[in-house]
Amino acid sequence: MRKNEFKKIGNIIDQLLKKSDDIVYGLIGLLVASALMIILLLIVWIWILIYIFFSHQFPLSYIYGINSDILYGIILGFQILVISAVIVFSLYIRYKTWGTELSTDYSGKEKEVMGRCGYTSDKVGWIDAKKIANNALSEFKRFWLLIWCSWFFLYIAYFIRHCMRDKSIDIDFLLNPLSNANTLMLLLCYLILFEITLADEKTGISEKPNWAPWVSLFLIITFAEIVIRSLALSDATYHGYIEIFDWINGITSGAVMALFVGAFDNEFIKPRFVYIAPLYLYMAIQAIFPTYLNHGENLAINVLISITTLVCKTILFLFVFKQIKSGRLLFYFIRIRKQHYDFDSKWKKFLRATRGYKEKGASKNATS
Amino acid sequence: MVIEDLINLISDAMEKKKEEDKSYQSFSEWLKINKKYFLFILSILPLALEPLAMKCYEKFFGKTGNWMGDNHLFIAITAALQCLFILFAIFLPVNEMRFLAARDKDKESALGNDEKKANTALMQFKSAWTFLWTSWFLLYLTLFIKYFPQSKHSTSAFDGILQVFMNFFNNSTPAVFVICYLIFATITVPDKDSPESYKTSPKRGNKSNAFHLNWAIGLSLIFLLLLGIFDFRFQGNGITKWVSSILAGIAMAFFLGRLNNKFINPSIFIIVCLYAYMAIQTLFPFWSGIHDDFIILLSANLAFIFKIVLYLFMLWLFRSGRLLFYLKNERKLIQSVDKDWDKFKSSGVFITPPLIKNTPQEES
Repeated sequence: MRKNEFKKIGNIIDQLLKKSDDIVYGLIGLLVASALMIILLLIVWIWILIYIFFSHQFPLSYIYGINSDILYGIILGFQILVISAVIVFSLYIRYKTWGTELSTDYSGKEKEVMGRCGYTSDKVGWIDAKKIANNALSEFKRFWLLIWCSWFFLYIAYFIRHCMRDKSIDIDFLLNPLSNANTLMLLLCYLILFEITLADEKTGISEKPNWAPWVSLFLIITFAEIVIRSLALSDATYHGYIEIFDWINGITSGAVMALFVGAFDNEFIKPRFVYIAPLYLYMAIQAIFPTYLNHGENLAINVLISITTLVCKTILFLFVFKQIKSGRLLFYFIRIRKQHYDFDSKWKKFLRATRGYKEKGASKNATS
Repeated sequence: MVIEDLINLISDAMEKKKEEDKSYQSFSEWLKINKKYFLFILSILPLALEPLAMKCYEKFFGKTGNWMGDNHLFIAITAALQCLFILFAIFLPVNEMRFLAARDKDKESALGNDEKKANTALMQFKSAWTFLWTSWFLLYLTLFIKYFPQSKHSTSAFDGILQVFMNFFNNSTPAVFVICYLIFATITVPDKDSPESYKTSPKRGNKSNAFHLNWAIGLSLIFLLLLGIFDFRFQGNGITKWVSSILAGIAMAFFLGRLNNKFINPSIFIIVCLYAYMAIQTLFPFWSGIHDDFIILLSANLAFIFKIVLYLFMLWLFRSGRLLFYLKNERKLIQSVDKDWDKFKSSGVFITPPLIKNTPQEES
């Protein structure tokens, strides 16, 4: 009897292990990594606050007894590790749907939800909307992967730069273009999320994504930086202009990150404040990052910024992953598209209801 | 008589159509029609950009005079211009706001529940918005007093008091932005028919039906007090500047994220401008610690231009009725979206069952 019970339990564990996705292990790994980072961040923050409280100035070379030079290198290496794990993960998400795909036919059970999404008796429109949502999600996953790839190369560059700081090898010229590439990927992801980027099969209206202006802007900025940097090699007067690209990078990466996070802070996704607040904090850090990390002398602050970005990055990944896995992003794609198309009629209807009614002189303007 | 009536009818219809067309404008169309706003910007911009132009001249073509090097004067001029502009901004948008009309003309009682709530939310937002600009005005006024050349010889006690006021007004902007965000993103007007709407609903777990705005205001005041104490303790350290600028950036991003909505439908260029303003706000203390005065002046001027863009954009939202449209529809959506999502999950639209744990109630 007991043997049978043990066998049953053994079978269950065996089945669970077979069924469980590699993704679960990856997630656990990420969570452990981010938990460690959060603990480290808290220790560093508390230590710095105590230090400032008693000495009235920022600690410079040592953090918690460890040389901040070494600590910064370790954290950069850790960032690369986490980003690599996320890339493998994102590849997995990209090519495996695991149940979060919408059916492209119609069943009677969907009637109520169809009405709730605004497609009251429009079966063809509803099926189209589902197909488009599937395609939009697949597009989103593609660029989501590219965001992480660009981050990977950026951190590799930061790591090499930090390791080679005492030698004459200078790879500063790589930092801004790589960071701009990351900004571009974030922008394209935002456009997929918020704008109508896919054609409607029913109406045949082509609303294909127009990436050209954004990609060309990125290329122009990169080209301009290359030109200025090459001129600066021979003429020192051009050196001051290189900083302009740091400001452009800081402002655009902050603004685009905010656009991306703002697209998620939507009534259809309804994110919790605890997710969105760190993501907006990440936006602020993204803005500071190029300006400070390229020129900041205080390594202690670099360490702080790097740890905070790692924590925020993990939260960003887990948050987006949760939306993809639960199918909420598909729900969002269906609803946002419908909201976009219904805007005109709703707005006109609203104007009819409010015509002439204004705060001052309402009686004068009121329609009789 | 019949012809006269017909003509009247047609002209009435045309008037109505004209008015509808006038209201149905995008932000750029609205600006084209209201040229006075363009003229206003054109008149204020040369004044605002003058110190920057002078600095550019100084930087690229050599020194032009001793007064050019007086950064205090530049900051005072910029602060005075900002003050003038903000005064203008405080008093203008409160007029001619669009309200939801009752079907039975002006009778408030004839309005539906949704309409009444949208009107109240609009009034809440208007108050918060006016408060935001007032705190900006007071901030720049203190900045002007501090940097006005005459006050250079002022006592350190006077400077200290000014600094305390400046920090207070500077820190109050993120608090007001959070309140604006709450009005935009949550239900801040209780349902008059059910006074229980503020309380936690047992069905919705911990989520209450309506967000109590008074709590937000109270918490903001506590936050301001704490930041004030922090500021007082670490004065001159620079860390408070960083904390408040990052907080201001985050709070502003929260608010701007809500403006970028399909009910408001802004152009991406306007939104990018506003986000760039937010990024400059966040970066300001970092730049001032690292770079020269030229960069500070450039970013201050850019921030001023983007502030004008924000003001005009909000003016358009108030006057076109787009804000009211958003407040009315968004509230309806907030109330229904949870149920919509639950139905969506359980309707079998997913090809294979997603990895979502259904509650026992749904399964039954």
